[in-house]
Order: sequence, then C-alpha cells, then structure tokens
Amino acid sequence: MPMNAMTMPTPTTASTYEHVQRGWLIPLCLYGTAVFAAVILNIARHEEDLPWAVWGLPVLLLVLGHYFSALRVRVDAREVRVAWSWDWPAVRHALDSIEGAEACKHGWWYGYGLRWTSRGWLWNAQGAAAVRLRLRGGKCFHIGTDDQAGLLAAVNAALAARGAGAAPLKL
Amino acid sequence: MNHDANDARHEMSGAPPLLAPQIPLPPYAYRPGRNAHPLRHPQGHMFGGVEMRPPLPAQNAWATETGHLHAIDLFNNKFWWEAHEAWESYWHSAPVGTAEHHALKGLIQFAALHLKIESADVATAATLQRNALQNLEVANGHGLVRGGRCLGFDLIEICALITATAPHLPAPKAQ
Repeated sequence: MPMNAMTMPTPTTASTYEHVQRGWLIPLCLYGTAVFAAVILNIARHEEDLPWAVWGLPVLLLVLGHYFSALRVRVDAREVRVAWSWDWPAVRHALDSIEGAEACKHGWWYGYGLRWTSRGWLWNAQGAAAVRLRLRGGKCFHIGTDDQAGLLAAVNAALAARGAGAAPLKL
Repeated sequence: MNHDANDARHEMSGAPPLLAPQIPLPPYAYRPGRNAHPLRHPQGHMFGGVEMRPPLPAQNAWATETGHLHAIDLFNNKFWWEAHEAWESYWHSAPVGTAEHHALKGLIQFAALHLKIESADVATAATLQRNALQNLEVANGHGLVRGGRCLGFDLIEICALITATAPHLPAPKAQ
C-alpha cells in the first residue's frame, strides 16, 4: 500500500514536564519598595491632601511582587508554555515553531523578570541559568530556570517525539 | 471483564475492529512506573499466568492464527507491552535467522518504540526505531518471503508505519 494511503498516526500521550521556580529577590525588592512607598505616602498625607488613588501604588507593587515570585514552565506534546505565578498570561511556543534548544547563562546585569535582551526575550525568576529556545525566523526566547538539565531534556525529548503517533496494523 | 463490556470499551477507543474478538482485551494497558506490572505484581492482569510457547503456524497461516491476531488487537488498542509479550512468545519459537524471527523481533521493537515515546525516552526510542526497521528489512529480503509478506503483513507497509510513528527522532548513537 502506498504511504499516502495509510492511516495517519494519531498522537500518543507524551510525558509532560512541569516545573515551578520560586524566586525571592523580585518579591523582596517589590515588597520593600511597596513598604517604602507606603511610609512616604503616610508622611506626605500629613502635609498635603493626597488623592486616595496614590495608595494604589504600594498595592500594585505588592501584587507585582507576588506575581513575579514564581515562574511556571510546562512542556508537553504540543508546546512549551511559560507563565508567572497566576499562570496567566502565558507565552506559548508550539513545538513546530522551535528549531532547537540549548543551555545558556546570563550575567546578573540582565536582571530578573521580563527582559528584552540583545539575544531575545528572557523570562527569569532568579539565577543565571537558562534554556534558549531557537525559534523559526531566527528569534530566540530564554527561560530562566533552576532545573536547566531537566528543562533542556524535556524540550529536546518533546521536539524529538513531535509528530509521533500510533497507526493501526492491518493484515 | 465480559465480552460485551470489552467490545463497548474497544468501540469507544476508535481502534479498528478486533481481529480476535473471542479473546478479551486486558483490563488495563501496562505503563512502566504508572500501574501494576502484569506478571510480577499480585494485582497484575497476567499474574500467575503460565508462559505460553505457541508453535509457529505455517507461513501462510499467520492471518488466521488467533494468538497473532490478538497481538495485533493489543497493538491497535495501545496495549504496547502486552502486544510485545504476545509476539515474544512466538519469537521464542521461531528458528533464529528465519524471516519470521526477524519480523517478530521487528514487531516487538515497534511495540516497545511506542512505550519509549510515551515515556519520552528519546535515545532508546531512536535505537528501537532503527533496529525495528533493520529487522523488518532483513525479513523482507529473506528468500522465503513471497511478495514482501510475512506474518500476514506487507512488511514494506510496516516499515513505513514505523518511520511515520516518530518522524523526528534523532539518529541513534552508533553501537
């Protein structure tokens, strides 16, 4: 039977990698700034009438501190998904859009959080280790991680197994 | 499990019709590390069973050999480990170097390939894919195989299926 007449394989259930990295530096900085802002605002309100909306600033900093406290990475049979604490919004890269992956390191000057660097986007909760996804079209996306080997293996396994499926045998 | 429940479960799976409907499918498909080993675990679905060594059918009788048809049913319903076991019982009986011996080994490796893909063991999957193709090509080139058919299969078609099963596996490391 010619190949094009065969039943196309249906996707198999591939293993899923999921890892959450918790960072303390971003929350510490943002919580600290929130407290500092609250103290300044408290002092300032005795001297002039402040609109209540300014109290949104320390609240916003507390919320952002919590939001950027963890980076969640998921690799499954379809995509690599990266999101911060609340799992939304997430950046998703379909496996078909990824040409390859490799381990890399970033200097401290790249900072933490969401970064646009000369080497492409970097999402990093904390630390220097990352995995670089080389995307079709020449762009790169960097995922900071404290499980560099595990994430790299998961991405490479998913890339190798993409398109894998099971077709029935026929006599 | 009775036959009706077995048939209903199979119909829902979307797999092709059972070739040996008189033999029920196992209650679960074994996945290493996820559920009970069928032979070794007391709750395994083959625990306490007697190891079978069925005699090899004649070359033109594979398409009606019940055990072989059940192995195909197992494979088509994603009972990879169970299908591999079923073919292995024939493989032990097949004289070394024959087309059947190579073809059965290729099928066993094909079933194992699915297990390794599911567990994301890319390196082993790549090796199994290569070895399965090699064994089926050897079987296909065997003088006794007429028109590329062995065990009732078109071996060229099986080779194409093996390649299509995981088209992006890296080249396996040299042995």
